[in-house]
Amino acid sequence: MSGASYEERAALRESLRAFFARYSPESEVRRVMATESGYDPQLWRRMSDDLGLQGFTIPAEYGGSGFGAAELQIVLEEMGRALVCGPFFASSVLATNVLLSADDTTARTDLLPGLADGSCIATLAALGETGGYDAADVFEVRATPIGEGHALTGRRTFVPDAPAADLFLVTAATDDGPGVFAVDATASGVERTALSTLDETRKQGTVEFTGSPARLIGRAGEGWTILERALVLSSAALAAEHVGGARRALEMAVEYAKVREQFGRVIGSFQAIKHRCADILLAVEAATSTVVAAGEAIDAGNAEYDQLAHLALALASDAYLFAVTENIEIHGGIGFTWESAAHLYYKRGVTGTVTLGSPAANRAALLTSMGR
Amino acid sequence: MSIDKDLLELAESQEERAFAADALQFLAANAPRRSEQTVQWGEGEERLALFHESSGADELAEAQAARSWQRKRWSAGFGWITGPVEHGGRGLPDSFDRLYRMLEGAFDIVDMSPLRIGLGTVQSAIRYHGSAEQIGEYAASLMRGDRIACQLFSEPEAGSDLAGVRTRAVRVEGGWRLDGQKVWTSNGNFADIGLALVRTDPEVAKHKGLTMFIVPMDTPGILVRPLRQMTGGASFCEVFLDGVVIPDSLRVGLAGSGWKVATDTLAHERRATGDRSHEIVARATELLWQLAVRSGRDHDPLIRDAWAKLYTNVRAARFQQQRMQATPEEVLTGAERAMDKLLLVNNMRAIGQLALDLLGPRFTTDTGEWGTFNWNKWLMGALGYRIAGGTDEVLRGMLGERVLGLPREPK
Repeated sequence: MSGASYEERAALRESLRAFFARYSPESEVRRVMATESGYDPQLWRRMSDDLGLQGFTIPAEYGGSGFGAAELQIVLEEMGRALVCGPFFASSVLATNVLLSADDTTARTDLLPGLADGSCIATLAALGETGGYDAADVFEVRATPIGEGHALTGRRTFVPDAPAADLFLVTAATDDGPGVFAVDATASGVERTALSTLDETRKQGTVEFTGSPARLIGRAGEGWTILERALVLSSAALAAEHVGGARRALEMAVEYAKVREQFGRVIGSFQAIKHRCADILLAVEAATSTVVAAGEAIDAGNAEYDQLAHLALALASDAYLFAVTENIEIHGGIGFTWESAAHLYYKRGVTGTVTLGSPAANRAALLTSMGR
Repeated sequence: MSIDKDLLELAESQEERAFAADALQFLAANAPRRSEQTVQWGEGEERLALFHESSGADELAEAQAARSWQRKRWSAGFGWITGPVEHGGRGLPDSFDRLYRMLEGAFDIVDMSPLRIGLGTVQSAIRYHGSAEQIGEYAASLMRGDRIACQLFSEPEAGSDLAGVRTRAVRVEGGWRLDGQKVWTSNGNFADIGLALVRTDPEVAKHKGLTMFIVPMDTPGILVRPLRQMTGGASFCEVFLDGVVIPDSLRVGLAGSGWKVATDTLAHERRATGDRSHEIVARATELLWQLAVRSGRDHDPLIRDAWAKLYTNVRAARFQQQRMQATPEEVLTGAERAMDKLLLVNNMRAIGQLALDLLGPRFTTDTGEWGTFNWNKWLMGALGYRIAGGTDEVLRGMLGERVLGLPREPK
């Protein structure tokens, strides 16, 4: 479907929107976000059985449907719009991209089919206390060779969907340089602890590895290369999720401005409100165009795809934060209540802007990838 | 030759392919290929003024160059691709016109901006609202490159509120007599005809009392004066109409339909603006990086972030314009141009401000160094762009109302 027509993409979007409106309405989001695992296993199965979403970009030989980055972006936009709870970004984006970025057919053959049908939930455990993917502590976990495999020791934190994960992809240092390892969540010496998060719709945790048996993905020394490509691909996807959420926040603001009356008229007729809504629209539209361009560049193998992914994430993050912040302001007092959905988008938005590097960090990465 | 192949692929049907092959043959024989533009500090013209500021002989020469390319287009059958066959057009659907413009974009042709108003707004108003005689005489002559047009819309008292124009037209023997003043008229000093929006009935609601006319610019009673703008140059004119008598045959559409003609005509240009402004902005953005390097500021984290932010927004505006170009006509809301312009103008201002930051006193005092002092013209030009063709405020109102469906201001 890569290179799908305007109509085909619109049809995909429409069916996804109907699906999530039915199975993940706000009431469900609120129910699931209060659970410990942070996802609804029934919805997770439905996403796989009915739509094959978990294996969307996984090639057919590994059990997926082999769609491109552009189509995955539509899925994420719609999930971001509905604030769907669950490990989709962790497993079907981050972890999947790590496995697809490593030149390791055996690992792909063994692991990807489980990710593709949703029976295995994977996540990326790469962050240390500094919380940056570009920080020195990304490869602080130690990998020691034992027999055919390795044993990992060390602690990872800010691990997305750690509570629900069956498989951790861990960055660790070896004698031959940085590497990426797969560790079963039930393996010996693996201990995870859930962390409190601002955005309750997306869980995080710490994972402590103590001599845990691990399988090397790709070759030792390739860790940075694999991680970097996986993060760039995931940035284009995350940016799409941001745009979906930002557009919904804009709609909420506009819907409210059309009905809320003060001073004897609906507040949307005041220029102060109307122009602010127009500014949000501009930010969301410009971010959307950039996100689409980044997705197309990835699918086309365009040499500047990494630049565009950083650019799209920086822009979409700023747009999301702007939209969710102004949405609360336009709602006034009601926007500050727990009952309003405005805070759910706000919390996702704030969290999202630092999930794969802040806007400023992405702009810095953009300059680096331009050789500047 | 591979470029030709790529270009031919833009065609979607057998007819379009044949048309594209003809067009490419014409273009290749008459214009050089466009080469990848690389900006090199200190080389060539600075080109930092956003507004066209050449005057007198230069301006006329530019208009002549544009006119001669339009004549070539016409002779080769590409002058009026969608125009009615009985008036010399090709009678082809819009898609052929879009295709031709995309093909021509791959060639380095002269700056067509002196003809933009005539080939765009004026031609379209006459064609869709004028009589057969007017189309044959005036629209066709604009498309042949025989006449140049200007637009007589804005007035000192009717800027954003265009429907408030006060220039009057009253019926007299033999036609109409026009009195009043128009302003911000591009091409006013050399145009052959003007398209004038004037008040014919002051008794009815302001939108209902307007009528559109074609005004030959050599009619007695017309005085054109260049209008000097804050940058020092004169890119526009003031046009004074004092007892200007024109025949009723120059009325475009019914008396009282002027507002409809104006808004329909502007709605015809629904798509985002062309490539030229985006290219100018991209060039300036690249020049600024070179300036940062030359000023030893390219390692300053504040400058790096400011430039990266600018670059991000410049790419985004371009992607936005391209996405709108690719969106099917029926999905467009009519406000795409407003979005495009707002993004473009924000970037123009950001460019000027970063230049100010990088240059310091060299921005305000001429040291004679290439590519420094004239950035002040860029920043001032950005302020003009922010107003011309719809102020930021008018455009944001348009987005709020037309795209988001927010209610209008109560009367």
